[in-house]
Formats: sequence, structure tokens, C-alpha cells
Amino acid sequence: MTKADLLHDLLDLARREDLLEGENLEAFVRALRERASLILDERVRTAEVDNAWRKEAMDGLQERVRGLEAENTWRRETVAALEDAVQHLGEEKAAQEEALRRLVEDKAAQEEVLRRLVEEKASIEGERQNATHAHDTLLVHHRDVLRQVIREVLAVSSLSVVQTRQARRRLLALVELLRAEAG
Amino acid sequence: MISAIVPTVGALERLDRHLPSVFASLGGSGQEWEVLVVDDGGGLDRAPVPARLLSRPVTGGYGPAVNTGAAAASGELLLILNDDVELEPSTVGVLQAALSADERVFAVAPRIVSPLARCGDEGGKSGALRAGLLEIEESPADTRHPTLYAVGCCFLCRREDFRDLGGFDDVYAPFFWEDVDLGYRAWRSGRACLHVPEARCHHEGSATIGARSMVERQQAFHRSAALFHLRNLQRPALRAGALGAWAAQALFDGRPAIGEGLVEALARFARAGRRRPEGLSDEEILARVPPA
Repeated sequence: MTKADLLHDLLDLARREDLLEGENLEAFVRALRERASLILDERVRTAEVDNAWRKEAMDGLQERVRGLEAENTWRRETVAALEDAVQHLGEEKAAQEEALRRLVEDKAAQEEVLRRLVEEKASIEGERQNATHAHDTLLVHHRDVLRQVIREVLAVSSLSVVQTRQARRRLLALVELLRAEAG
Repeated sequence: MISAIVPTVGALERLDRHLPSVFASLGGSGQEWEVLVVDDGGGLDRAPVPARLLSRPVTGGYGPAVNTGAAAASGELLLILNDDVELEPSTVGVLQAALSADERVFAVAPRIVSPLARCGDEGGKSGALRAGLLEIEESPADTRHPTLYAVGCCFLCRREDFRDLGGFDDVYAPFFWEDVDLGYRAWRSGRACLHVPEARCHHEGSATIGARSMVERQQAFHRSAALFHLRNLQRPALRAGALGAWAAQALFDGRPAIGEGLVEALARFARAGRRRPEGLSDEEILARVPPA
């Protein structure tokens, strides 16, 4: 049943009971007006409550948006600061890598120097051993010469006067020997 | 003898929970008593001992179930109770004394402690016409005072008066406003309804009706409210006012439950008609039940 049908039935009942005349009609209209006013007041009150709720919700949303915007700004600033820090760290890393590369190069150079020093030391050690050997050989030789000189001097000294010539010859041979040793 | 009538729809668990307090309170009154459990199409096969079980094969509603119990009752006093009501030991005795004290009183209702009541007591009621319709207000008080009607969940009345008034009107079935209607008819006939706050009961609240949907309950409420006005208001200007109010509801209130309720009320009214204009006027009745 529609609203119109219901209204029709209500008015029909009122008509059948003779309620749409005189003071009854006044009572009908007064009650209609007062009840309509109550219903509409209730609707307005409900709408106001609803409106107040919506306004509170909207205020809350706007506050939330403001909060999100502030948070977004903070995030942007933080991201920018982080990007700066990342860039700075990148530069620092490159510098450290360069320094490291140099250190590696220095180390390689030092290792080369060290290797050369070791080779040089080995060479020197060889030379020293050669020199020692030569010295020892020379020493043995000089001792042989000295022993030979001593023997010749002793032999010459034991020669008699008549053997002067022999002595002189042997001394000259000795001189030649020594001269050869003297270079 | 007091006959307690407890309509239910198969709620044995609730009966087991609450009836012991009813037995105790009836026992405490010093009167003979019986308890009639009226199962309104709920399929119960027993009632808590010593209650007697009356079974209605089909659910008819609160009023018809109570009428069934009243027809079978042996007591000269009827204690009408919902199945979710708990009595205190002194409740029945205090109500019985209050009812016996005045022959003009039809029914006495205790303080009904209930979550349904905004003020905590749904026992006392006043009524006033506002914008064409009767509006019922809670009317709590600490002393006995007239009430527009005895709330159906718990009241004591004389069986003779109950039968003389015709019991609950089946036109309101399954529920709502049948107790207002009965109280109004009692006032119309010159009898009174009394709120007796020193007697107390505790009402769980809407235990049976709560199983129905909100829309169904709203529709039933508005149907029964409209029927009450159509059946009871006598002065033409008051009847015109009620029709004007409903016209406003039809025009401006968009809730389908109201429109459907009005439509059903008009259909039922067409069958049941208006009560005969005898006894107190509507204004006289309402003047006797001012706010406490």
C-alpha cells in the first residue's frame, strides 16, 4: 500500500465517522500540524546530529590530512638528508677506495723495493763470499809465498861465501817472486 | 487462592531458572497457590514441578496465552507473569495485601527492575495525549500511586475483574499494548490500577519478543498503538486528533514499519470495531494517572 492509499484510508475513516467537520476537523488539523512538527523536529534533530557527526568526521579527516602532510614534509626532508648523507658516504667511499688503491700501489712498490733489497743482499752476500774465498785463497797463497821466502832466506843464509853467486841468483829469484806478488 | 499464569513459547530453561523464585514468593504469601505454565505453541512436554502445563497447539501471542491460563485458573486472584521474571520472597504477599486493601483496585503492579526501563522501574506508567496520540511515560515513585496500566510482565488482579473486563483483547495478538488496553478498560469501568513499589520483581526483558526482528517489533508496536486509539478513544475530537496524527505520519514519517502497522491496524479495526462509550471519559481516565 502506498502513502497515498494509506492517507486515503485514514481520511475515509475520518469521513465515515464525521470527524472532518467543525471542532473535529480543527482537532484533526491541529494534531496533523503538531505531529508533523514533532516528526520534522525529530528529523531536523537527527539531521543536526548527523551533520555534527559529519562535521566532526570532516574535521577529523582534515586534521588527519594536515598530519599526513606534515609527516610527508618530514619524510621528504628526511629523505633529502639521507640522500645527502648517501652522496657524502659515496664520496667518502671513493676517497677511501683511492687511498686504498694508493696504499696497494705503495705496498706493491715497497714489495718491489724489498724484493730488490733481498736480491741485492743476496748479491752482496755472494760477493762477500767470493771476496772471503778470494781473500782466503790469497791468504793461503801469501802464506805459501812467505813460507817459500822463509825457506829461501834460510837457504841463502846457510850458503857459504863461495856460494855468493848462487845466493845472489836465488835472492833475485826471490825478488822476482815478491815483485810478482806485489803486482 | 492465587493462580500464577506464566505464558511461554517453549522456554523451559528460562522457566527452570525463574519459577523457583515464583514458587517461593507464592509460598511466602501464606495463600494457597497454583502455577499454570501456558506453552504457546512451543512444544513443551513438561513444566517445572509443581507447575501445571497448559499447551496451545499454535502460537497465538501473549494475550491469548494468558487468557487460556485465566480460563483454567482455580484461584480468585491471578498473578500474571512473563517467563523471564524473578520474584522476591515478599513480592506476592505485598501485592496481595495491596490488592485486598481496596475493592476498587483492579490490578497491582510491583516495582519492575528492568533493563528496559530508562528509570530502572517499568512498573509505574502515566499517559498524556500529545499531538493527537497517547504517549506513555515511566512514572517511578517510592510510594503507591495510580498507574495507567499494570505492565504485563508482572501484576496481580482479581480473576472476576479480569473475566468481567474480557481479559486481554486478542486483537492485539501477538503482542504490544494489550496490557495498556486492559488497564485503560479497567479505568474506564471505574476500577483502578496501582503501582506498589515496595513489592519488587526483576525482569530480564523482551526474552520472548526479542527473538523477533526489529522491523517486525516496530510494526507490531505501531499497529497495536493505533488499534488502542481506534478501539478506545471515545470523544470525536480525540479520535480526529489521532487520525490527524497518523495522517502526518503517513505524509512525513518514512519508516515502513509505521505505515505497515497503520495499514494492519485499520484492517483489524474494520473487523473489531470501537468499544462502547460507557464509563469514564478519556480525559477523566488520564486525569487519574498523572506523573508520580
